[in-house]
Amino acid sequence: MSTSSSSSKKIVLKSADNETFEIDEIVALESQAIKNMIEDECADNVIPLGNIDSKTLSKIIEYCKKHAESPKKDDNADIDEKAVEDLKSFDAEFAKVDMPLIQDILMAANFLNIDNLIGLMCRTIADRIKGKTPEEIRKILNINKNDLLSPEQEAKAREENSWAFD
Amino acid sequence: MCLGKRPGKDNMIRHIPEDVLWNIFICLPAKQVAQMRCVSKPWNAILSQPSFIKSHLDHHLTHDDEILLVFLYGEFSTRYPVTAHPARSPILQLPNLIKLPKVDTSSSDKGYFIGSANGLICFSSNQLGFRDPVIHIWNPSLSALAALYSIASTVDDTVDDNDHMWFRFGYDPINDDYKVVKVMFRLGGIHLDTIQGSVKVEVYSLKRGGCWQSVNGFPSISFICNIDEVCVDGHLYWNCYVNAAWTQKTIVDFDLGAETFSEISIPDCIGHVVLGVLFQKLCVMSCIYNSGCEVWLLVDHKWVRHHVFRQFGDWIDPIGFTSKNAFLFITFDNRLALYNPDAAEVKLFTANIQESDTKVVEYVESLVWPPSLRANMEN
Repeated sequence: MSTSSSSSKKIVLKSADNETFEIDEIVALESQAIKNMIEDECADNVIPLGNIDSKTLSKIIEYCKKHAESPKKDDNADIDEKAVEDLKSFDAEFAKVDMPLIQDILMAANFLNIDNLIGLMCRTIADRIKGKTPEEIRKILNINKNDLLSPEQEAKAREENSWAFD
Repeated sequence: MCLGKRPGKDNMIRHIPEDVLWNIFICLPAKQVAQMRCVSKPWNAILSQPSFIKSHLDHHLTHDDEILLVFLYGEFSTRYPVTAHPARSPILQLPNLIKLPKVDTSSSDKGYFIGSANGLICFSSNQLGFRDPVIHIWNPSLSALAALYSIASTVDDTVDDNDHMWFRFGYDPINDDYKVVKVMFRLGGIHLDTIQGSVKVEVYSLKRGGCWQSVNGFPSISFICNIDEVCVDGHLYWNCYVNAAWTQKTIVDFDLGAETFSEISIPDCIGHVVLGVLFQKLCVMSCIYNSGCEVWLLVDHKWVRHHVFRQFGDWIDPIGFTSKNAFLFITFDNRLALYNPDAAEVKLFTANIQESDTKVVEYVESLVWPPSLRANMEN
């Protein structure tokens, strides 16, 4: 952490399972939703996040910390390539978690409106289902049985896209 | 204040909002997306929406690296297969990147490229016993192929060597329809420097299906030059000669929605003209000795000289622009080249192109497959 951050304003986030996380405001500002709350002055000292558990929240904070510390692209046209590479490899490592957690992070990132993280999670899911059959995808993503197509509907969908199953 | 309510842990993907799922699906290849329609009901609903199909196409046009499909001599056969050339790896040639359609070799051994729009490629093949060629629609990214069998609206037994038939293919965004245009020309004779003859035009709509419909109002233009045509913004444009010396040209403009013709004169003071599309507008390219290659853009019915490429010398053959506005041309030593104006760099491909009839189209991941084609699938 840089020295300036120790004196900066702190924000406390509270997870669904009542764990609290004290973070620098600059880290919290990675979330557009929290940023809006702070700007509208409707954020209390503690921001409760009733739909995000502590495991997911700590991952999100890890991500936001790293991205808040990294130089932003639009700040400086010639940021060194090492920083870009560093962030890339951080993102790649960050995404190496199991599918339920990826979905939790995606939901939370969507809720907190963290664009880069939504993009990273979407790409990760896309990569994991790429080249997989519908059956494998249902398993990977744990699709609810109630959402499955009826045998007739599935036959119709397969018929209409028959070339795709060659 | 407490934000949000916790969804059931068992089935997170159900709770991921549609717009987020959309972002996941959009980056996947067309063929996989088509398969994924039967994963679940909500997915089937999203993936079948026309707006998703359009967004998917736009995403791949913007984000994917260009892959060029080259139809040497404007045809494909066992002798001249379609080749695919990814712009990212200029020294690599990947003819097996895509599955080529199997044109029935018992009756025909060649496909003739007609046109391309939104990832669909239209080509014709000749079939023994039929005077009219068979028109096929091919989506290489879905490996889908269909033939348009139809009843010709005009039956004429007096066909002879003076008759010519050309096809065009284009997309009408207003009606979300794809149309094949058949132009039949009968040469009457040549008197002084004027060519006489008659032109008949028929249109086949993929939305309407069924049969060819006659269209009147073809401008009184003497002869048609077949090699050069483009489609943009619901209009098909092609080059026509207006005199027997084949020196004067004009552009025929066919409005695919209204099915009406008009004429656009060629901009002044340039030589041999090639039609192209740039910034979703009609453009013409022309290379002149000692002054490089000019590009003119049709803006609000007026020609504007957009820019001049001088760096390639005088001996290039312009082909057109890609969807990312890169300039495509054939070099003086017959190689396919792509010039990226932003990076000011030229990529050379291994394709050796001797013939100006060669067609180059962009390969794009596309879910486009009009419902009327489903009944006529080949394979």
